Amino acid sequence: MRTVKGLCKNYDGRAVLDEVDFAFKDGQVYCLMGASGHGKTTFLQILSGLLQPDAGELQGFPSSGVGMVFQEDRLCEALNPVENLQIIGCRNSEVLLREILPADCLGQPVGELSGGMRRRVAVARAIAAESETLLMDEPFTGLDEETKLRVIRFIREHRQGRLLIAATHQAEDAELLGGEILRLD
Amino acid sequence: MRNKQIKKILILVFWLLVWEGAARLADNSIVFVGPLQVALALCKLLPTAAFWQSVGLSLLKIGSGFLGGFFLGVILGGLAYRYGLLEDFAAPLISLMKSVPVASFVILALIFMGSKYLAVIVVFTIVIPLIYLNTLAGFRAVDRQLLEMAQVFHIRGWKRIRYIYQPSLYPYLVSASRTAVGMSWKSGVAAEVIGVSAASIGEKLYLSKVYLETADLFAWTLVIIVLSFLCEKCFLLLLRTLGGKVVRR
Repeated sequence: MRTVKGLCKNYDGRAVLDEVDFAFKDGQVYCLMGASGHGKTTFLQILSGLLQPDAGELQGFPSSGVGMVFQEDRLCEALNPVENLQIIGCRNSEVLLREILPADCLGQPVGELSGGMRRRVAVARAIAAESETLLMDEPFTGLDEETKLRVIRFIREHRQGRLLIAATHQAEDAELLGGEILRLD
Repeated sequence: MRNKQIKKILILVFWLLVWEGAARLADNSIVFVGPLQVALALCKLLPTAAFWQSVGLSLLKIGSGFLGGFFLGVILGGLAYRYGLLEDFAAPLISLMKSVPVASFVILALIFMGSKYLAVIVVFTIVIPLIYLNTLAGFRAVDRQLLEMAQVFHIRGWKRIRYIYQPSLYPYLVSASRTAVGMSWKSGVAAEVIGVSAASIGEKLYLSKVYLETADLFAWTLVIIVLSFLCEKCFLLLLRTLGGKVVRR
C-alpha cells in the first residue's frame, strides 16, 4: 500500500492541491479525474519526484524512478522510436514498439512523426522503464478512437502488475483501463 | 541547382574582371596587382619547399592554438554551467580577454614569451572566450522538459550529455567555431607578422612588404583565405561526425 497524506501545493498563493489524501494498492490501476487546473499534472509530478509538495507526505513510493508519460511527449527529436527506448536501457524496444507503431516508422527520427505516433512512443517508453510505478498524464491525447483502444490494450498487456496512475478527462478511459476512479476536485 | 552554380561562377568572373581592370588602370605593380599577377606569383610559390614549410608551420601553430582553446573553452563552459562560482570567477577574465585589442595582446605576449609560440598563445587566447561563452549559452538553452525526462528515467552521465545536452550545445558550437576559425587565422597571422616568426606565413607576408613584392603579398593573402576556409570546413565536418545522429539538422 502506498499513501499520500495531506498533500498541498500552491502556485503564486493559489492552492492547486489542498490536503489531498489517497491510498494506492500495489498492482492496481487508478484513473485520476478532474477538470483542467485541478492539479492532476502537479499531483503526478509530485509522485514522480519532479516537484516537492509544500506540505504532506508520500509513503511507499520508491525512489528508484517511475515509468512516466508526460503531458508533453518529451522525446529526443533526432532519435528514432527504437533509440528513444534504448537510451532508457530497454533491450527489446523494437519488439515492443512494433505492437503499436507501423514498422516503417521505427527508423524515422521522432521529430518527423505525427503527434499520435509520438504519443505512442512516449507510452511505450514509460512501459519499457524498469520501475514499480507507472504514471501517465493524459496518455491518449492526440490518438483516434481505434488507436486509443490499441494503446490501452498495449498498456494492459505490458503493465506486468505494476501500479498505474493515469490522469484522464474521460471516464470511459478509466473503464477501458480497468481502473478505479479518483477525483481531484 | 546547376543554374545557381553558373550564377555564382559568373559573379566570381565579374569581380575578377573588375579587379584585373582596376590593376591595369592603376598600372603600378608595387601598389596594386591584378589576379593574373597573383596567380603567377602563386604558381612560383607553390612548387617551393619553403612555401609548404611555411604553410605547415603556421597551420600547426594556429591549429594547435585553436584546438587547445576550443577544448579548454568547452570544458570551462561545462564546468561554469555546473558550478556557478566558477562562472563568477571567470567572468572578469573572460571580459578582459574579449576586450583587449589583439595588437596589444600580441605585443604583450611578445615581450613576455618571445616569438616562437606567439601565434599559439594569441590564437588560444582569442578562441577561449568565444567557445566558453557559447558553450555556456548552449548548456543554458537545454530543454528543461528533457532534463526532467532524463531525471525521471535515470538517464545519467555520458548518455545525458550525448542525448540531452549535445543537441542543444551543437548549434552554438558550430556557430562559435565558424567565427573562431576565421578569427584564429586573422589573429595568428597578425601575431606572426608582428613577431616575425621564422619560416611562418606571417614572416612571408612581412618580407613581401619589406621587398615591395605586392604580388607575393596578395598570393599569401589568398593562401590564408583558402587555409581558413578549408580549416573551417574540416572542423565542422569533424563536429558533425562527433555529433552523430543525436543532432537534428
